[in-house]
Amino acid sequence: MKTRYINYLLLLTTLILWRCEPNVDEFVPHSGNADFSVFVSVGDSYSAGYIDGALSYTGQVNSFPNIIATELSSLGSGVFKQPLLPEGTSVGSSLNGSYVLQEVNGMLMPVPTQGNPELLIDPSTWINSKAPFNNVAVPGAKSFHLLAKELGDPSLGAGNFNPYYARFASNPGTSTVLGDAMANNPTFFSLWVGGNDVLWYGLAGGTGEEAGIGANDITPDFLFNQSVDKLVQTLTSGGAKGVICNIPGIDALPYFSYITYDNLILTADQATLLNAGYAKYNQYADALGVPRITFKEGPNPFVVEDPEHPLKMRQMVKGEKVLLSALSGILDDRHWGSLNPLPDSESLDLEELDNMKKATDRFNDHIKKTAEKYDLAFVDANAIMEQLMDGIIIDGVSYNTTFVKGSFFSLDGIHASGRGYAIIANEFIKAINAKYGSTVPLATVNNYTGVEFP
Amino acid sequence: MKKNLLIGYLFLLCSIAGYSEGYQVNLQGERQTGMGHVGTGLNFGASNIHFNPGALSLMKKNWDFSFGVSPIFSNNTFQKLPPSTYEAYSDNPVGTPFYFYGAGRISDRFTAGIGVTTPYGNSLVWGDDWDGRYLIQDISFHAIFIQPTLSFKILDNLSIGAGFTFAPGSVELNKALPLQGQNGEEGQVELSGSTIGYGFNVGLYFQASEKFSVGVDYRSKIDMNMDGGEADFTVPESMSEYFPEDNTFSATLPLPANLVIGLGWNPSEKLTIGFDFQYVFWSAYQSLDFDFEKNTEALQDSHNPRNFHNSATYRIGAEYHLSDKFDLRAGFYYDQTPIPEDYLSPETPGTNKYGMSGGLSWYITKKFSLDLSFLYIQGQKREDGYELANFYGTYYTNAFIPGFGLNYKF
Repeated sequence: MKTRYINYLLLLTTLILWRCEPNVDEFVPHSGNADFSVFVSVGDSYSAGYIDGALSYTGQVNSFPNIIATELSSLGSGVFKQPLLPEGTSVGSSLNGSYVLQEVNGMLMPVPTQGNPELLIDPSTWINSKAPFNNVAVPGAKSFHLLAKELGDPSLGAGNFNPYYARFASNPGTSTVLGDAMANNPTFFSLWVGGNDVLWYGLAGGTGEEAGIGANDITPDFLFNQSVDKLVQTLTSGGAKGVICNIPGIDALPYFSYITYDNLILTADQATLLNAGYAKYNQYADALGVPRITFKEGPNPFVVEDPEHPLKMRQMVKGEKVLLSALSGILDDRHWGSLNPLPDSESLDLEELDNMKKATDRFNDHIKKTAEKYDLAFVDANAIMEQLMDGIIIDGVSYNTTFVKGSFFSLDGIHASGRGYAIIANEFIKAINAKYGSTVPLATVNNYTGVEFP
Repeated sequence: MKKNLLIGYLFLLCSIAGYSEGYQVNLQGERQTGMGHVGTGLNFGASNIHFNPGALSLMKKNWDFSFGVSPIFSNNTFQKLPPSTYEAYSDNPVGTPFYFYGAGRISDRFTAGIGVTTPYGNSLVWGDDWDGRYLIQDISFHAIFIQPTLSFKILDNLSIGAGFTFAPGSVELNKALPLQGQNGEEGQVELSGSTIGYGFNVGLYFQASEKFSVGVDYRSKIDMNMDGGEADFTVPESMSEYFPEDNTFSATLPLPANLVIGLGWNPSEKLTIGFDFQYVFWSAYQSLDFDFEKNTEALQDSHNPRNFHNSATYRIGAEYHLSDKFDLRAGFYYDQTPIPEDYLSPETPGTNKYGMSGGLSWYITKKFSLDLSFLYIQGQKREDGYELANFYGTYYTNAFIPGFGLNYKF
């Protein structure tokens, strides 16, 4: 009897002990010398949560400013109101829906879904009455757009205004993005602009102006600098503190690196056929003393249109870039880069790349100076992207800038994936904590969604 | 520009499990456990088969049988480094190490016995969705050491012994793969297999005087070579060709050698004090490599450096003979972790540990006793991580281990 009693007693004790977790140190986040009570985000598609070739509800919920706002909520930050699309919807700049990976002819490719174009086209779906929003980032916006009331003016007609802003502007045609941001009386802001001031030129294959205000142009320095100054001056006018981010170079973007200049893979037979096809070209080339177009088995440089070339086309050289948008033209019966030259608008030559590089450097220089002048937290996205090109590992997952398998970029090859945005959010948080002595919690990257496979 | 350009090397960084001082389980006798697990310099009957086969032929009776079980209630907490607020708690099943010893005197000089013990094992469950899931979700490893042993008395106070160990063992581990499906499910791999390892245990025991005894025991390394372990991948449909079905792997997990030097001291007739210095040759565990039978572009063999150091454990324990009915015990030990900085992975949240124990024997009859022990293990908090996976945080560990044993000798 006695043994049984002891056994019961021991059993009881062990059941109690089973759940005795070790004592742990408590961590309490604090704001340092920043005031996060009203947080606003000003920027472009990156800040808007554009992902997989479209703005989508899920992308907006995963936008890096919203990730930051979620972490700020433990520090007394108010509601972070975003101009959300209806749940489950998406709309891209070409009125497409979000891309998904799909098997097409045995190949896994990003394919656009149907999407919800009405959300941009039909003003009755717009949410202007709900303004102001805390996240006033506008996909496609350049620096000076954020100060222009024309940005959201539908009366200018399709193609002449930005419907992403028009749909949530407090007063389309009258209000500005900056004005709508200020309507919140922000105490803290994030500002990430300038990407589109360079990128659009690249997306158009360098066919725009080196300095101009057209869609495909690189923004002139004075206009960029003036716009950034005005934005920061205004945002800080009420005593708000903030974080500002520079522009990553395009080398990191899979959109410009997935297809390499010499990605034309040929069999010996195909090479022979193509060589025959370019025999006439090569006669002229010899006569003019310019390089021939030749092919061999294995990888070959693509043939590209070149308006400045005496024969209007040539083979690409190392360092030049092919746009991801050329993929279908290369693969289908347009035979871009082989039988037919790759259009000028689908490639970037060395001079065009140099224009972009120099503009990026100049703009980044100004952003850095502005951060110093206004004593703002500063995120060096350009340096982070360079690290990412070598690959980084976070919590057991490796990320790099490779298309799809690199996990950082979404299926459009320009915008981040959900996890990519979480990584960006953490870089912003680290910069904020370093500047303001705060301990804003970091997001848990593995809780976010990366690239999804069928 | 084929599909394979979109995916590759996904498995390259998947480090796969290993263990630590946590996978050595020192619970091979309730009397010893009650005394901080000292025993190599003491003569505690049949359990000498494990602690020091040399002492076996000096056991006081002709027959000695012991059986015991020590359920382990362990807890692990992981905190990511601030300012992250992420925390995870393990949900470990109760581990059940046990032992059985039987020994009998064959002649004046020879004593034979057999021991069945579980000196290595590990059960750790972090959960399917926790933040470190790409390193490990859960792991279960068991090995049973079966050790026939023979001891020879050289002199009345000096004896040697040796045992041959064969050790069937099995492992099962699960981890997530960073490969997300459109259905919201994540890739996963289950690796499982079993094998038998072989080794030996030799010991020398010297009763220097009535008051002092000394023992040395060496237990060899046992390599658990696993061939044909099952590698079962669950991945999104479009990726399945890269993770072939019915794949197998081979891997080797070393169970390291131990050298134990023990001292016994009887300051009075009623009091016994023991000291053990245990040195574990963990440097045998340099890496854990999984060699898959079928490799693909996305599924390469997996090399996971471990770089363990040799480690030492210092033990002290005392037994007080209260009466003919009761012995009381207490002990303490300090157990160094073999895991170097930047190699701390959540499948082995190893850290320097303190063990505090107590115990008692109740002699129900002269021949038959009930042996009880209780061991509390407190791990030092350790802020560290596995660099190759860049997974860092603070690990907290403790364990409560009650032990129940029976001994019959005549």
